[in-house]
Amino acid sequence: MSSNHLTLAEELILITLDDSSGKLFPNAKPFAIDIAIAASLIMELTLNGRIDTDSEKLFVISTIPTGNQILDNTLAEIDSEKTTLSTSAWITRIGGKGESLNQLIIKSLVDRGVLMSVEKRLLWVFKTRVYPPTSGIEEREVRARVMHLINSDEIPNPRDSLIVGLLQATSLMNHLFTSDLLETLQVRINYIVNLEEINRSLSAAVQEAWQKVIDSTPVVRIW
Amino acid sequence: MITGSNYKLSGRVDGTNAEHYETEISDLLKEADQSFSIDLSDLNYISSIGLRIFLKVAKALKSGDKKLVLVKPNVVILDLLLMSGFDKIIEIQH
Repeated sequence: MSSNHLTLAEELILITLDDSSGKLFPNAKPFAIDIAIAASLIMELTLNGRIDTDSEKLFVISTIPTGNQILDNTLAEIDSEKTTLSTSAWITRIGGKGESLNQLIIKSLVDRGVLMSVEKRLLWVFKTRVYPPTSGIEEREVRARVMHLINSDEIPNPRDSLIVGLLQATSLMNHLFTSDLLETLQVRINYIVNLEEINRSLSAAVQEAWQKVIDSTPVVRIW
Repeated sequence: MITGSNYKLSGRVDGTNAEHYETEISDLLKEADQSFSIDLSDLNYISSIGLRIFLKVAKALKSGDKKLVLVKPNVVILDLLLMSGFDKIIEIQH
């Protein structure tokens, strides 16, 4: 794969990253972003012809390295698993790496000159690191692509369907559109998302993780 | 498998052979009239990568004001096509 080409994971991080705080989209459920990042790696591997999926399973079709370290590590992990797992099971498993995986992707964007890494002080004491965009062109390009697709009746290409699925799963659509507009566009968004099996697996993985959060939350009874 | 100006898919279509079929179909699209049909009656299995062929072909045809028609999918393949919402953009004759 071309070294200039941004991966879906990198595109997702660009849209998700709050430039001033250096944190990932503060209004999204944290696990949803971790899960979506995991899904984006699987999606990229299918677009690169390394893995394939159906409604029941995910399977490796080629172990030839892509040249991207994060994708190749993910591919190696999937290939070394003896048991065949569903796509949503893989998304959940890889999503468990959470923040460490997100930081690797941010680092790759810094290494490629898309983001800058800047140390900042909060209240003159606490050090924090923020990642403002170098030019912002890449992020604007992704947003424009998504907006155009959603506002048209074009048949989406697979990459664009997948990025829309990622934005939907992380509630980032609320960040891109006003609530009124989003309501109008929801049918089109659902249609685009549904075209790809991995988007449906992603949605199932997010729902499952959310259910676990609900199940583990103690019920407070007020008598 | 090529039959006239249309095409027939048989057996399994997944990431191991999808590129081959996509290339064959793309070569035929230039000669397509108003519509291009793919016969699915002998297709037993199709993966996500295989399904993307239909979207790419439909997109290419639409840009020339032509349409893709999928013919006689078996029940399992039909369910898959309907579940993915392909019937909203591709004509399915069953």
